[in-house]
Amino acid sequence: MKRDQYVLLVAWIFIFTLLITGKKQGLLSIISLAVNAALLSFALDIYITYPSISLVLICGLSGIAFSAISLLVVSGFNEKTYAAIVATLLGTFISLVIAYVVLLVTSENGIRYEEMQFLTRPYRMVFMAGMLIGSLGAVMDVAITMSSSLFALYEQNKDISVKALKASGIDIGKEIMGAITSILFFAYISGSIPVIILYLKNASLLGFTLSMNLSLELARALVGGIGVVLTIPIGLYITIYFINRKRVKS
Amino acid sequence: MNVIVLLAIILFLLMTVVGGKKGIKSFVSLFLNFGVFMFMIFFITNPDMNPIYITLIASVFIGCINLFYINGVNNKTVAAFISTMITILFLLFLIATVTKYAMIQGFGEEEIDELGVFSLYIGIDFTKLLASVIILGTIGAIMDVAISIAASMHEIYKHNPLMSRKDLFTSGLSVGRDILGADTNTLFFAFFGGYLALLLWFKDLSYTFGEIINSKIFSAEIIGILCAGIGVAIGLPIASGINAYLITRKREKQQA
Repeated sequence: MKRDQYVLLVAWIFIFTLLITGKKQGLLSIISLAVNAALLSFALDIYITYPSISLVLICGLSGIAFSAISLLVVSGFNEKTYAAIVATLLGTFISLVIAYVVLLVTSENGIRYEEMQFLTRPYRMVFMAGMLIGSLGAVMDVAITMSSSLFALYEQNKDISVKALKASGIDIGKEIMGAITSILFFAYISGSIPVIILYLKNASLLGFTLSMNLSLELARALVGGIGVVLTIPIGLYITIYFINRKRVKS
Repeated sequence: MNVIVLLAIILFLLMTVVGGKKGIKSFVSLFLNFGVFMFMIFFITNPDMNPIYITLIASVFIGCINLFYINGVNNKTVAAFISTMITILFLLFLIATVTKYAMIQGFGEEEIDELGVFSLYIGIDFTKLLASVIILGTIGAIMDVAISIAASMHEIYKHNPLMSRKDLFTSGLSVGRDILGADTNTLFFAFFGGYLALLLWFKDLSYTFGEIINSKIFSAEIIGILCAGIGVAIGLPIASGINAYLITRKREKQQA
């Protein structure tokens, strides 16, 4: 069935609304999104051609590229962005290490890989790689918000104390913690609704249905949440370090 | 020990340490959100009820949990709540139109194999279900934009209490643009990560670009993601408008 015209139509509406409401920022977002998508496609192609290279490694390197591109394109080449990039990479890396350790320690009890029904590839790696990319977006959000806000405070008052910055930073972090984790949570579980309904209407038990279908999504959302919360103090300290560096220079 | 349980415990500890009381509330709200989700599923399985109405009611509850429970009931959260609801209604209209014409509801050929044992004749309207999926997927981002705009605009108003409604609106828009970029990024990366497996599968089978775009699964996902992005994009002016209106109305009332 010819569906591409509708995909295209909705894509144009999206670009249109983003440009109207976002203006220059909107345009930059679209550009970074397009570049990231192309990069991802390219990275996956490499993986398929050389399957001996770990997918996690490929996605990790791509992840560095994604963060750099997204943040630099949208926020420009300045200390604010650099701080955000470093914070993003650290936050994502640490949360992934935690995820890996948890999977190891629990022998993956509770995760139903059967859900990855399409898979012809080593499922564990695909899952980890997917988690990396998923967390990256949320962590970037936290990192750039922290960095922008703290740098804005510094610009308003160049003599602001480190203590005041820390206090403001933690406050900002507390505000966004719940909101960003919610974004992740809903983005992941919303996709499972049709399958869950299907299972239930075919008389599957609730517990079985949920464990079969939500385990991957919940794991991703939780790891993303952990990344978000970790990035708050990480972003705070890194931004303060960059601010102090800037202060010393001027 | 179960992976999910362990991860949840770690998240709870981190949220408490970093966020204090608010952190605990944030964690609890995740639970509450999940609860609403379960209720929603329960009601949707009833074929007599329209999934769209159920989703809207669920959105109201989710809005209350994330806005009023965590941040309290105040001018900002009320404005954010109203902005969220209006944005969802707009988005609903868009989704309904597109899904009707693009026929992307239900399951694609690729999924049918795995689901062969199940009867698909379960009396639920899959078109409406898809609308439900998209709205639920976006609601987090819409709420974030709404509350951020509300908070910023109230700050701006505090520093400039004599600002006109129009100026307030434009300043809201300009502040919100940064958030717009960050949130669309978060959403898109979350979706990319979730569907990495699918992308690999397509590549493995060497689907041509044309085949990918036309396949039901991919186009459903892409349209869903794009609608989510549109939801966030229109959430910005809606939130700015609502806040500008409410703030100036309050000022007019005080002066009267």
